[in-house]
Amino acid sequence: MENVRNLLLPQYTFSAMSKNAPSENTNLSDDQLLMKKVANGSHVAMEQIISTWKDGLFRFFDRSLRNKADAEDLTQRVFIRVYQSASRYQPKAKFSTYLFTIARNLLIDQIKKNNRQQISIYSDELSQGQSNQQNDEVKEWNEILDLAMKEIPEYYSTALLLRVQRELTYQEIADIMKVSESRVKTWIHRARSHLKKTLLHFRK
Amino acid sequence: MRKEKEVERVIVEYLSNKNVVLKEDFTESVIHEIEELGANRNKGNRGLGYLVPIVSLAFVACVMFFLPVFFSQEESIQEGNQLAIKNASITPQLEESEKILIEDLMAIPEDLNVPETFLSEQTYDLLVLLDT
Repeated sequence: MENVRNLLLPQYTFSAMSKNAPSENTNLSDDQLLMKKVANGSHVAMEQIISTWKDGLFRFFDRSLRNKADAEDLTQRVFIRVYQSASRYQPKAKFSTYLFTIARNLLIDQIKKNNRQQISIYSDELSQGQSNQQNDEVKEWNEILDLAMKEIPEYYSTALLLRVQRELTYQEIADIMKVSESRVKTWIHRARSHLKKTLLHFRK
Repeated sequence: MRKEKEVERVIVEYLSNKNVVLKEDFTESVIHEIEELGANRNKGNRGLGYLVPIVSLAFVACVMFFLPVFFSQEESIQEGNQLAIKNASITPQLEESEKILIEDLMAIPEDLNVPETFLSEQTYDLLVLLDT
């Protein structure tokens, strides 16, 4: 698990920010330093940020929307927004908090848009099919879990995904979602138990 | 219990979604998109830049158009002034006696200058009555 954590969050071993820092860049994380370079117009720095975060964001969107095309589009839009707002970026919080706050805002917009267009994301996903390498059982579980994820509110799934995929603390998730830590805990617990119940129900 | 653990494992695997990855050229396509955005922004700035010579050319054209009109007006004013001076200098030389006569004519006494009002006959009658 620790290896996975290191793999997922390689650059956040030091994130404590101090306003009284002796040097301006002393306490900045790699991503925060990269953001400074991006603000100065460096495309190389932007490329590094994209390479680091693209898969994490894509997985988050893919599980939230259950649609790979939308997930890819949103991932791209997150990076474009990051680039556009680089000059206004203030490294007050962890970069992941900043990034996933943008991601969540875009996700909510997309869900609203999908609801307006009455698109059945689930049927789209089923018609596209999953990877051929997956066996039938896993495929079946994923379909069940897709349905279960569709049934829960966006804030349940977002909190759960940030916890499981990014291994963020409850406080970090609360910062991203702008709610209290206890509420985040409740949402994650409810989301988890809903998925569990659904899966157990179908596997009886 | 075992079943529950297995279910939990399945859920975590599902949520982790580790099997999916973006296509390889994703980073390049985003950078390309960003460069296009930057280029469009620069184009917008350049658009304003293009306006500078156009505006200055228009200004120069206006100046070229209005300057001759302004100068011709100035010339005509100068000509007018010169004419007035000339006219002033052309005034005929008067004899001394004529000058005195003109001065006398100009100096008309005040009372002569007031036109006399003639009273009507009825008014005279009234005045006579009052006198008596």
